[in-house]
Amino acid sequence: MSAQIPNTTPKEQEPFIPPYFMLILAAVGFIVALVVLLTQPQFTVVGWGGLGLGLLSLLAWVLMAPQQARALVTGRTALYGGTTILVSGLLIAALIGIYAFAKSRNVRIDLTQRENFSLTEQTRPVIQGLALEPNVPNIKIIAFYGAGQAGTRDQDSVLFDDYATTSQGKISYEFIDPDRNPTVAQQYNVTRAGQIVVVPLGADNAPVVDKAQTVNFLSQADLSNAILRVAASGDFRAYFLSVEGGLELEDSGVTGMASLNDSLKSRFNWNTQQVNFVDLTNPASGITLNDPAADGEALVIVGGSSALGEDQVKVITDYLDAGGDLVLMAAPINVDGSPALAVTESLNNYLFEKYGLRFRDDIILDETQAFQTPFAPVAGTFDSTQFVTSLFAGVRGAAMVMEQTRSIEVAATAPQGVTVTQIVSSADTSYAKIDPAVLSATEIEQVRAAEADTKGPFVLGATAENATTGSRVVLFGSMFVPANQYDQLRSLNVFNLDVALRSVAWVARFDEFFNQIPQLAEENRPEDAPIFVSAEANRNINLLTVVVMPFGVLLIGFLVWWNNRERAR
Amino acid sequence: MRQIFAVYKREIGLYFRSPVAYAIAFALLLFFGLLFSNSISTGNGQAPADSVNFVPNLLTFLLFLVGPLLTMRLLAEETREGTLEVLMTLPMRESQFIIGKFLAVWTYYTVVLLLTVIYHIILTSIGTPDAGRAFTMYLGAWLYGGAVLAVTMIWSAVTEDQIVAAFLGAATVLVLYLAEVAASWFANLPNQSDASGLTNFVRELGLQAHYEATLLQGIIRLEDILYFVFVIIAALFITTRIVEVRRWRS
Amino acid sequence: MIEVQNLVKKYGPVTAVKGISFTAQPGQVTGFLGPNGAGKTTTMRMLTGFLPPTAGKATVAGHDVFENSLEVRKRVGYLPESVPLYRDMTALAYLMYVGEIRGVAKRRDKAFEVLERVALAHRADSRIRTLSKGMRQRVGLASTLLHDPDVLILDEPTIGLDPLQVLELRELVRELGKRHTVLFSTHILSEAEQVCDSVVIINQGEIIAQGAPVELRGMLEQGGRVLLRVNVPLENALPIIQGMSEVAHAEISGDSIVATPVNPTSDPRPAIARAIVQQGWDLVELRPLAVNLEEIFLELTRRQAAANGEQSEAAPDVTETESEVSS
Repeated sequence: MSAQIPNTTPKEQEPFIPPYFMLILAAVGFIVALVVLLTQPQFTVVGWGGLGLGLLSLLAWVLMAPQQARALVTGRTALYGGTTILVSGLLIAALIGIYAFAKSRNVRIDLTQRENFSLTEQTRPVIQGLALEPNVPNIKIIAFYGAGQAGTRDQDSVLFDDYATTSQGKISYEFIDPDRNPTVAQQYNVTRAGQIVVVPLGADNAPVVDKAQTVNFLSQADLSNAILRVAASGDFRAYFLSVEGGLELEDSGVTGMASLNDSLKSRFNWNTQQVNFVDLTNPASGITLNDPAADGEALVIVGGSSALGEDQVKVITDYLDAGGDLVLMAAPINVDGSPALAVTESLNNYLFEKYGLRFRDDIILDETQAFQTPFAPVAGTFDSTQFVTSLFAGVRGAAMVMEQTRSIEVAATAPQGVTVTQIVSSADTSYAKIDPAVLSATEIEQVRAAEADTKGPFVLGATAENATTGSRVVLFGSMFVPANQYDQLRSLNVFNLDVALRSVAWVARFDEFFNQIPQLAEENRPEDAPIFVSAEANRNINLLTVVVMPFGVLLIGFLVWWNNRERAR
Repeated sequence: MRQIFAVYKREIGLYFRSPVAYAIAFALLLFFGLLFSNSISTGNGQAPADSVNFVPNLLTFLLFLVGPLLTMRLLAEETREGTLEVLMTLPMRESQFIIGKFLAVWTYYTVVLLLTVIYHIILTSIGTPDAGRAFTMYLGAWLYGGAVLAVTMIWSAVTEDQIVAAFLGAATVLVLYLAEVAASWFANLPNQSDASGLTNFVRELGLQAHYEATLLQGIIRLEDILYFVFVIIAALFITTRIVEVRRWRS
Repeated sequence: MIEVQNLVKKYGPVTAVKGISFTAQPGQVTGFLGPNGAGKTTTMRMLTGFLPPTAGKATVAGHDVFENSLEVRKRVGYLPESVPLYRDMTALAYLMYVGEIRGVAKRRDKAFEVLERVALAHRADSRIRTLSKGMRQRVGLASTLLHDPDVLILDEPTIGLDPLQVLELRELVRELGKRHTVLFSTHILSEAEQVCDSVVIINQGEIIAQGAPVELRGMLEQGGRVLLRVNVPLENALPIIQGMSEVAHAEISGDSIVATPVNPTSDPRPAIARAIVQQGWDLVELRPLAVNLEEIFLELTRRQAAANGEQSEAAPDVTETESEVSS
């Protein structure tokens, strides 16, 4: 190499290592780095080593033979194309090296005013809060982006970086190509490229796949909420009491509660459990009611065709007295007239006395506002302030199907310190029958409203909260409220399952747990507003952009040309 | 510096007296104007301002046509007319001469780009375009243009035939433009289980990977800025060496 | 001052310049003479730093053309053979442009000054494309004078000009030679003889002679043959001449007799004249045979060809040279 560089002064003392040796070393280093770059998925230590060696040797060569280096770059001595190619190659290699280094520094600035790629003012304190909260686990954002989404990856990594730095490393992120890693994708139920999964990390920093949250399209609010949900996966427990003729938690049939269970577990990260009375009192079962370690818990009783024994009632009342929370969905009246669980007298009296609510031993029917049969009246009146129903009160045509429902009696004056809210009521056209014979009616007349029947509307769902003990109770007249079958009726704005879910959430104060961490909504930015032009302004814009600007330039060009021509004469 | 400035002044004067330069600017502005006013009309009351702010991006695409047209004569003409022989016996380095030429053509491009800022100004009067995004978008388009012009200038040094220079320039820019497409095509090959290094390399070699997803969207990344600057440096260096080698072999 | 030592230029396998050495003194016009393709332009390009030499050394105005090219360029004014100019610029603008690159102070004044020196001040604002060939040549020359260069290198500046323009330009170059070191290449022998104080003759990349035109002439004249014409039939006169003791050899060439002296340093003419008069004949003409550069050149290239054992490749060039001269 240096042989081509003439006029090296021979008088100069030969250095211990000939300078061109450094050039060879540099070339070797760059080649190694390039090979690593092209063949390895990651730019490993070897790559960095090669790159470093290349740059350092190049630097050493410049220091050892400054004239040669200067001559090479300023270019009077390089006589032949070969040297030119070599020098250009070295320059480009050095530039690539600096580029790779700069890239590894990850210097990015999001200049958008709408903060597309950085945390909004709304989000930032929330994420900062997560960093300070020792109970919040480390969280990983896994973006399943395909090979064709390299640009999106570049873009979104800017936002993810902001999450990572703002959370002081508590949030990390990773890109996984779902096509290359189908098993990982399957693990997280990722079905298409572009989905993002937020997953908490366990003690050994291994992802807790069960608690992963999926975001289908990246929006900052959705991603932040998913992070909050993962972070806030506090200890919430729902005990579903096994009762005679009740709905089963794991049952995925029409009258099962698998759908509700699934929602509680996957969307809310709850622990759910089917229990019986024995478990509730037996310490060996591992169940502790009113466990202070829990962030919230709920006892859920769905159905129950026979009355409870006094000891069983006592378990419940003790629990409630101690601040426990109950969701009770009543089974319909029995054909033989025997009392069902909901109207066990001691329990019913206790509820009326302590919470101002009790079930009536009746059945509500409705011939007009009903779903398919008069036995399934449709309740369309929701309370707009109570958490359980507030979300649906404003929705047009929102309804609950209350199959074989009882009505709820609300005390004229609520007990001291108790707030009672009637959250769901039936229509005016509903009526109550107290004769269980209606259940086995053969004539339509037996089902129709009779003179003696009390006329609606009836309260079919109510909540009560004891401010002193903190105990919360939700009662529904129908045990079929949380049945799986209503999952398919969501599109008709039948919100049974949502109301059931929110009932459980409300009694356990899960909503407050969430509310204390702000729920982030998509923010509306002025940049999102559409453009607006009046017809006149539109004409002006057309004139300016289509006529004035281009033809103006053309005119100037013509004038310049003309002027030139005149001068040339 | 003095030499660079002298060459720059002469070149810039040529651009602003050349009917071709005005014709190119006219064609671009007419095209942009038609598209812009059309999307204003159709997007009225519906599209946010940012979705109508597409001109810089479009300009970077059209550069594969405009760039070679602007640079094809820069060195080819000097070689052909023999004026290079005079210039290269004046006390001026090739690099100064080439930098002067490059800066002139980049200035012309900058003026055209600045003319398109009017679309952004119009948008601010009828909506709320994201100002930060607009800034990086224009900054990116400016650097992008510099890189394209520098690369196409290489061909002007290689051949004396302007048409050949223009075609080769356009082809080179298209290849650089489509590198991202090639990379994603490459990545989707079934048997490329673990060639992400090569894929990324091809992608990042291209122009689009440093503009479309980042600068165009309002993100400034150090490596993107460096990419464009380095492409300019490398291309000017190569051009210098080519002029030199060609001269010495003449 | 130009000093050239063993300068070599190879284009791949072809050696265009084969190790030439010469010196051009300040205050002189040095003619660089040779047929087309002799290596004149290549040598000049090396001297101006446009081409790198393959080997050898050249110093122009005290700086090595290779090591210190920029310093050399600052002190040299070079006018290439084709006189490339920017045709769309005015003469003044072109000079200002070159002046700016050269860093000439008071560019405008200087530009006018040199335009006056080449008698073109009245066309300062004309575009170069509207100027005649001779005027362009003068604009090119003016651009080489802008910075008062120590050394002027002019590559065939008179080519393509009409006779009047040629005369004007030669006058100008002679004038410039008084102040600068001028290296002036031409393939027209009479031009070199008229303009140059010293001549370097180059053929096929080699220097075959150098010196002042007078010296070169003298070199051939001494020991040179003489040409004789008389008013009697040459057949009668030839034996008389051949019989003289001073004459080694004589022969008829056309309408005259060419005689070669025995001793090249002594002039045989007085003896020949006496012999003719003694015979009672009239002497029509008697002169040395090699008197101008044209003949020197022919002779030299003939000798070079003989020495190289080649059957003179220069022959066609020589005919061309003759035709140029006769025009």
